[in-house]
Amino acid sequence: MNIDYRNIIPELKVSVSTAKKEIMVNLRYPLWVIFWAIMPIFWLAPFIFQGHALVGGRFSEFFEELAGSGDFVTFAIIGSSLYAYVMSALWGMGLSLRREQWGGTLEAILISPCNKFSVLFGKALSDSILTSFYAIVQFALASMFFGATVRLENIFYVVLVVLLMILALYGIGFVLSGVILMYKEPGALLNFVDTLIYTICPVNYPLKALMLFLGGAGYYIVMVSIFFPLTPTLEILRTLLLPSFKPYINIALAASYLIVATIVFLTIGMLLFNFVEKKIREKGGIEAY
Amino acid sequence: MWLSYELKVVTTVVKKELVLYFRYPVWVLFDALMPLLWVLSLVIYGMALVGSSYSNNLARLTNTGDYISFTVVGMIVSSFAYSTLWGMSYALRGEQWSGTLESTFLTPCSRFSILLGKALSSMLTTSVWVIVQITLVTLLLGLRINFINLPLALLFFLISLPSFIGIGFSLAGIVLDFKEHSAFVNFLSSLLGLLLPISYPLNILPPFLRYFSYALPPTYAIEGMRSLLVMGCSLSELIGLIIPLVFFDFFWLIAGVTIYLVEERKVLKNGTLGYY
Repeated sequence: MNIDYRNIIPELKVSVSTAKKEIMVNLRYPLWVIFWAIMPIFWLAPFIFQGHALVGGRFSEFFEELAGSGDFVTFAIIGSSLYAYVMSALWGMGLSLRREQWGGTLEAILISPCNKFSVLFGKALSDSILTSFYAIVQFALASMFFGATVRLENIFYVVLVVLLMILALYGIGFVLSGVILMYKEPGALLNFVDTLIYTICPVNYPLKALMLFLGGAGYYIVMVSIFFPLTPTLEILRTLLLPSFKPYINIALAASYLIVATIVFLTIGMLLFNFVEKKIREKGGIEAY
Repeated sequence: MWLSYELKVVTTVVKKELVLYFRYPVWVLFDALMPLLWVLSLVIYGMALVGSSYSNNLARLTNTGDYISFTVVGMIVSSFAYSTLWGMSYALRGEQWSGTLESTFLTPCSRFSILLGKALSSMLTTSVWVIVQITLVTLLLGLRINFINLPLALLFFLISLPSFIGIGFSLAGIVLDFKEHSAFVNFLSSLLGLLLPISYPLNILPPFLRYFSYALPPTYAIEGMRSLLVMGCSLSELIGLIIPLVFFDFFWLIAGVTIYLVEERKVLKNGTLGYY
């Protein structure tokens, strides 16, 4: 990967400068910033209203049997706030280099005398800062409108686990970034992956609901879901935040998996990105629109 | 003579749009399968809340406890509203991206024939996918709808169609002027997802939101089609929904044409038609 450790400070400067630039560009479109901070509430609200229509309140006995906590509103608020990071990995990191291609600045970036992963980490850093802002705003607004009961004494561990998940998602973002750079038009792929993750991960409903609904096939879908970093993170976070929540996976195991997944996804992401970049350079397709 | 000429324009635009649509098979696949995943996540969520496909509370609120059929019909009707929203807002913007807007405007035919052709092609593809989805949902999830009322439901849908097209005309005009449509349309789609009674009845919404829902024609279309297909009502029982829909048909057709003409005139006067 050609990382020159003597240049670690200049490379860090590249990452910070890239992050600054990305944040500046984002803040130039204040309507989009407001959109991403507020709109997820509009996507969460229909689930909460549906829940109220089906059970007539914010607690469900059956939900309690599955998740240990019957408070499906707080359950969904935690899930949707954390889902902001998945959207950021897909639509932010995944599209980051494609956006440079649209802007006609990709070649200039790739020939600059710095490591391209410093640029990618810079982009990931800015995405994480903005997404954390969106997630906090969403959580605060959703709690204000619908009410959330969480244990705040574990907040330090929550931040730690979220940081781990962000790193693992960076790896997936690198993979997507490379794939999109190769195959260009990403709309359908990203939409599909986004919807699939939303369906198989426990964003609004517990993992056990998948097995209840899909029977034997549900077990395998749950296994696939656990493989994606969002699922173990949600299981840990809900255990930390939601009183009486019963996780489906052993929490120590989930935390260990998250650490391993972070290292594996980051390594695979970087290797795959290197491979794709080399292929595109060989094919001469970097500037191809 | 004039009418048959304009009808030819409409059919030609429909054909052209369909050829373009099928040139992107990945998007076709996406349109066919994605709504199923959306239905699936709503159904699994419902299952997690009540443990079966029947909700006593929904039955108390709406006379049907079968939330799968309730939600699927809501999603089917709303998919036509979304198709108008995205299709019509993109209609002229797409021509702008392809660099064909000026030549389209120079052709000696009515702009509304072009817009109508685009709206109809989008509705046609949505209809095909809706049929595929109904079949799959019936097979996989046991959708229980009153198939005898299907012709009446189609008639009800036809009553609501002019209002959808009118809204589409106004959107096409607004996007022609303001150019970048994705943030605007994303916002409207999200708002519709909240305000339309897709997976819950209207009386669940807070009262101040309900007033906004009543101002939207798709609300009446969803309620009417659901009453026919899920609750087995007759058309005469739905007069309270048909009257506002007919009113919205006239209102939105007139408003849509007016808004489009005003925006088009503004763009032509300012010389910004070709602006990207």
